[in-house]
Amino acid sequence: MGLLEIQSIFKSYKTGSVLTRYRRIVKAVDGVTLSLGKSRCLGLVGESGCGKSTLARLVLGLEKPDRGEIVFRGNSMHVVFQDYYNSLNPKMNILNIVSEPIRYHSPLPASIVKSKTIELLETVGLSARDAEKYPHQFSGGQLQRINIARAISLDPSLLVLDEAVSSLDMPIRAQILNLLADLKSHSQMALIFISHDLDSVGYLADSIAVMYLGRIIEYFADISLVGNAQHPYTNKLLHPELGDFKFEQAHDASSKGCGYANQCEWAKAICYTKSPYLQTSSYGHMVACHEGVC
Amino acid sequence: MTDLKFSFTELMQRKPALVSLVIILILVLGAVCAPLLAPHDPEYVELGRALLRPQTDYPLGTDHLGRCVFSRLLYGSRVSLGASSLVMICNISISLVIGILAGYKGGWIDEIFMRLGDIFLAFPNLVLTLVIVGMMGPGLQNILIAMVIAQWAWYARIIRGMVLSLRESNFVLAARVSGVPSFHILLHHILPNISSQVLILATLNVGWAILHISGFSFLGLGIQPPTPEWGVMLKDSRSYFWSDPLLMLFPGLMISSAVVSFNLLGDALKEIAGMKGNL
Amino acid sequence: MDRNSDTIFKIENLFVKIPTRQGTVHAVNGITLSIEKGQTLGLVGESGCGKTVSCLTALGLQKKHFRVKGKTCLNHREIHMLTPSEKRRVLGKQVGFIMQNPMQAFNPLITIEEHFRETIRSHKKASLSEVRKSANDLLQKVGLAGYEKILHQYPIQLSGGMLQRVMIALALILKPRLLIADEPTTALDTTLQSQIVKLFKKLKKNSDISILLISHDVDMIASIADKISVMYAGYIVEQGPTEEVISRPLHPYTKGLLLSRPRFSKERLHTIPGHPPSLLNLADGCPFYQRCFSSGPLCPSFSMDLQHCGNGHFVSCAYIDKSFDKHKVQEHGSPRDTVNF
Repeated sequence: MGLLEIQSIFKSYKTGSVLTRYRRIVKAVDGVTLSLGKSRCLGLVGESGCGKSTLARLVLGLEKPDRGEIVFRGNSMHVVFQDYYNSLNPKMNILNIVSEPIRYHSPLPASIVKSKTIELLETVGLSARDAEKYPHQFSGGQLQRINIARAISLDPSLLVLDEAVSSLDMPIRAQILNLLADLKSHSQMALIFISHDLDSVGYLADSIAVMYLGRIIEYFADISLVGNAQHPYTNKLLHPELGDFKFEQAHDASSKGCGYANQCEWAKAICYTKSPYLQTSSYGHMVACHEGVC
Repeated sequence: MTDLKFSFTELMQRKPALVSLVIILILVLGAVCAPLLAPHDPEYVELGRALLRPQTDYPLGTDHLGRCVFSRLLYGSRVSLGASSLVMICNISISLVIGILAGYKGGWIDEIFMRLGDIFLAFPNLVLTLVIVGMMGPGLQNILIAMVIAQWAWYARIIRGMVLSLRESNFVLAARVSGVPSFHILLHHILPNISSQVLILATLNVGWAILHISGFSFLGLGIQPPTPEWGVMLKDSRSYFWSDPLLMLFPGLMISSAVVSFNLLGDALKEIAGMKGNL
Repeated sequence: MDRNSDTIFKIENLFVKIPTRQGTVHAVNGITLSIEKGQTLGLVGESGCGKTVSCLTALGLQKKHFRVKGKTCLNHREIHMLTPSEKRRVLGKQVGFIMQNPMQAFNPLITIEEHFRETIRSHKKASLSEVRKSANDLLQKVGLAGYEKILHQYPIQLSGGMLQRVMIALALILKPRLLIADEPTTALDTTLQSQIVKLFKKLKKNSDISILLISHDVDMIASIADKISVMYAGYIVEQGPTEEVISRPLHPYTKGLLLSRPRFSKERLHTIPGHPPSLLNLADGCPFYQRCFSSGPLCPSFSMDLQHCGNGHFVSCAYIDKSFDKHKVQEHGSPRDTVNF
């Protein structure tokens, strides 16, 4: 029994107007099944527009899936977004921002809320003096620390990090990654770490799922298995310097076959007609590729 | 608090805004203290003293019925400012409720209000007001109702747009994830972040309302004589334009200075809000 | 600094101060750079350290209220002496720009071909067929061979990686002598980043264009540039040949930068404590000393002059520590194809 079970969920959006002929359906999440155990970290990797963030929103309950179900067996979950400035209400001071989840969760006297908040701020490397300040008085790394403080205020059993370090510069990124690693080792919190940067994912994650056009195309139950990556797209992510890049129009949702076929060096006839299922390739390693499995 | 202080010091550094603010304060003060300041009863007719030039007894002269122009202007500002503030308050509160509901809840509530709004927006503002007044008959009360009916959709749409973009902002999403109830999200996250823009809309709306109330009174559709009002005074003095141009000048000046002041103030607030956005 | 006649672009002792309501922002505090013909200079630093401001100011593109001191020469002509029309002509022809976000750098209402046409025709007369020919040549050069159809497409129809290539092609179309790339890979996904890096390498090999590469990503810069300048709080703290700086970093900040990158391993990341100082009313002395692990009493009053340490390696630090473990960096930088835990 995992903490989070995602059972073949689907979510699609309609774009364009009813009146134009460009109306089409974008399958943002196209049949994803995943599970996550207690205090584990799942790394979700993929390029922008592959449906990572939609999956996060579905998990967080901010959107309802078209089909499928999500079972969450923990007490609460929270999120840290990429855009750290937009994540904080500019009209509220840090004390109110960080203590918001506590205040709405359990009615506590103001003094206890305040001391708890200050404790949280100190956990993420800020000081009690910062509590009275406003978001515009902080730098990017500090703002992301504030976001993390708010996210862990209820001691959630799941924390979703949606590109949480992607817009930070390297030295600050390292600080935040270290902070997250500390939080992970000192608490029972499970993490979903979403990023397009495989290096950051490798630092935190225990298991890795690679996403492409709304589907999981490769899954490693343990990060040590990444060395046996089979899917051509995963290999491209691991060794971006190898091979040439093909610019093909993005895969159309209506067409059949593997979504990556247009860009794949090894594509065969079957890749264009039948879409591959995620199959177990070896213990703890699943891959969705006609080439890789056989 | 720091926010307000910042806005205030910024406002003080802008000359046009400062002048406008002073003019508006003088007008409001005049309206409030009209009974104390007015030398005569604004509706007291004395035909023997008609069309006098400005003099110590009558600071701005008298009109064709011998009424004191200065006193009428003072009492007129009560009607003009009071009525236009009332229009503004009704307009903004109705559109705030509708705009926030439609923008935050979305779905069928949004559809109903916005399609209804589309119907109102399809008619030119002035024509719509004229038709409503035509149906209900002239009078201050009817003018006010007509103006609110003609305008709410406009403001509701603007506020809905602001709410819509805030609804998707990360801090609202984070609050939803934290389990903060919708009502509190509206109160603590949405409302404070649209308040400065709503203030701008309100200021500009007052200027607009002053202009229109006077305009309708001038056309004979609004406030009826003998009630002192700037538009009515303008209308009354029209026949004496060649012999006594001052009679028309004073109410005209009042209307334009009030409208220009409110608009300049609104513009300055807009500029300051824009600056804060870039902070 | 040697007065080499092959110097294409030179910034000498540039200061930029920006007066604001809260005080003066010391954006650039006396930097000196030079790029020779065919050379690639990488300017590394965190966001807000003055990288972009110094480049824009050096080209005379600063905002009106900036207070600028210093001298910049493009191809032996001093830029601040030029009249506005001369400046436009010289800069447009000799300098190509690549900006961070390809999505925002294009006019969404005109096709890619019209972008090329506009760029060419603002500097010389050219017929439509000539424009097409040179555009096609360049698209081939940036790895878009066989994609002539994109000339008739609108920017929104192209992906980010394609647009970034088109932007590079556009920057090259007037055969500039200097290419300035401001964070050319930051807005892109990892796979695309390495494609753009490859493209830069190819460009360097096949032409004698000089490139000024600005980024916060040391690895990216190190893989392309011949020379590296590390910038911190408006100062250049370290400067030298890439190989030298990467394998033998002397400034504590550079060391921190090199060690802080995650490399697909669970090994604890080295971090620089604290955060970059505000450039507002920046105090004298070394701006890094509060975050530095080897600071001493000389730091608060250090003049920040660059000192030569051999092999063209310059550093501005009061306590130069040459005992940096080179092997640690190399070991740390092990590529991820040998994933072993």
